[in-house]
Amino acid sequence: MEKNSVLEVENLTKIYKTGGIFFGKKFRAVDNVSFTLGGDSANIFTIVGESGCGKTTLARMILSLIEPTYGRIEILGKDIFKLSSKERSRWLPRVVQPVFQNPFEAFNPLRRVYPYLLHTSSKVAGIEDKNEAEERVNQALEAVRLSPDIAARSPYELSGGQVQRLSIARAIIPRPKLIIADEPVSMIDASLRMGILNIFKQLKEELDINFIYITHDLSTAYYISDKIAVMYKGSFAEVGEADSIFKEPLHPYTQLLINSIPRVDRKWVGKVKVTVTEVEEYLLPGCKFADRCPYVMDVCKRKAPPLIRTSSGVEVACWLYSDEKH
Amino acid sequence: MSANTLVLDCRNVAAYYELDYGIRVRAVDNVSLSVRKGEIVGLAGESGCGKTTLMRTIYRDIAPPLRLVSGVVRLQSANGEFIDVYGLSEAELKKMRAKVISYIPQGSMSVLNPTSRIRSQFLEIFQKYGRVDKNEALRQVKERLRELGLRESILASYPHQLSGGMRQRTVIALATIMNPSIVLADEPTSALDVVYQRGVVEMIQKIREMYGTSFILVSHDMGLHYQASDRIAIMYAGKIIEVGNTDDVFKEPLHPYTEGLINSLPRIGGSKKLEGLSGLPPSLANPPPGCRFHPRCPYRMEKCSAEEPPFFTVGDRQVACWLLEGK
Repeated sequence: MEKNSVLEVENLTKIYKTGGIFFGKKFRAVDNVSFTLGGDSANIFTIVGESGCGKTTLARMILSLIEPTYGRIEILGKDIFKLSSKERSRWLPRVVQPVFQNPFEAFNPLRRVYPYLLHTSSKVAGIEDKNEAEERVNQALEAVRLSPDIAARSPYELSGGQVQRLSIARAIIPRPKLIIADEPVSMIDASLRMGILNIFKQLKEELDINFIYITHDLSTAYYISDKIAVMYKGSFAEVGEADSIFKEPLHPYTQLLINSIPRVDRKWVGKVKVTVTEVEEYLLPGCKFADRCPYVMDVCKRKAPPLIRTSSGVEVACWLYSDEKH
Repeated sequence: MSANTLVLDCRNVAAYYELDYGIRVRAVDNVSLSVRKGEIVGLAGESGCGKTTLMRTIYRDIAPPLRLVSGVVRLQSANGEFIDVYGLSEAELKKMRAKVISYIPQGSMSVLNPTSRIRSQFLEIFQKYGRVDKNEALRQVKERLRELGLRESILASYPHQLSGGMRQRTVIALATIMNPSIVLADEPTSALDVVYQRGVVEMIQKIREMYGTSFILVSHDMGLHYQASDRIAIMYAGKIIEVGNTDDVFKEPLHPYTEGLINSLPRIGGSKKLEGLSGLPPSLANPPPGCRFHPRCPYRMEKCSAEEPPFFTVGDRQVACWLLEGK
């Protein structure tokens, strides 16, 4: 275990049951995921993967919105599923905050935003003095580069980009150590996306906030991440520094993903093989990518690969990089 | 037929939503766009800029409050003559659809009937437009699926049993089964993951190569346009502001909006800090005078707020910006 870690996730697994009571099947939405976030300075850790890979389930567990089937999540050294009810309602929202995909769902459409932010400041952040609470709201608005008169309006009067900035302002009012941002820019127009991602970078540097950025968009992932985890069918396929993953992807799935990005500086080469994902595939033993993998070996179908640390510091769940004899 | 034959020609098309209290939302305003045979034209722009309204106007799928205010939409029919889409009777229009022009709205699930199998959805098209019996229709469907690299087993599936990527490719196969000369595809990849996105684009390119079908590909994703389209039209606040060969536009965007849009895209391997454009797109009910982009434009001049720029032709590119006047 590392010192000063903000978040530690260990063997996290979430199993959903599909089908009936007697003949139901088990579905591992998140399968044995472990990682640590934090250290001397704040980081942006990106979890990237296609839809249905379990990235949102993982995020919801870290936000303690759903309970894992096995595994442990520690935030600042405290197991978040063993908190007292007082800690759950008071302490947890002050250390971890969410930013969701659809900012319009984050605010009451019938209420103006400013009183809501003020309420967050006095109740969630626990600032009793009214002037101080207002001061905290204004600081948060300044950090996301919005003027207080924008916050004085109702959500429907604002654009998606503005409301998303407000929801980021709301999230930073309690000065959390960790923000979980689940697809925060996928509903925002391209020309305004960068503005929001730049706010994340700036909050990381100025307020020392760690981010878990969840996305399917690899180009924005490259733009803001320090570390990236590529998730495939519930497990991490590859984890490492953003630069090394994009420069030299090791896992065949990461390679497929990176070669399929619609880049604006290089055209696609060759053709891509597209297969169908069935629920049953989540239940197969062995590597979940085996049926799509161009380098598939015998061992891949029998045994799930562990995360193997390579010389470049990247961790990859692929038998191609194992020295073990099988 | 030469490669440059036009299959679709829109001239000065304006379509407004006419609401109560005299509010007119000018969603498509004075747009001209043509598509050549076998060409993939990308239509790019941010949400709410009028891309979908333009597609619906071309397909004549419009109902009040949306109204065609001016302009002509002409399609080349099977015998080579140009037909004014808005001059057709309902029956003639119905005949044109699927065979000459096909429209794929956004969201594959909203196109497919969730309660019937893919097979019957293919057969329904043959019932409506084809003149063959069921066995022959089924044979043609199977052959088409094989040509496009889709599994025959999808025919027995219900739409919800297919993955998003497979569903979208099925919709494209359905839309092109009658060999239309042009397909309007609205955001065909927007809900898909990159690998499936690429699969859909490759299928569109394959259809173009095999059957000479033209496409208008609507997407907000500039990366997709760079990969898929031959020519690109950039739309801003109800107007097309730049049209040109995709590679040229990406290499050297001429309109300041195109430039801002392309420069705000993150590049893998790039480390430059990206700013994005400042400001917001205008309200289409009350657009700014002159050039609609001038309030956000870094190069704005006095003229820009006074007078609307016409299209200036630079090589084979057309740009609606006063900066290019006299160049």
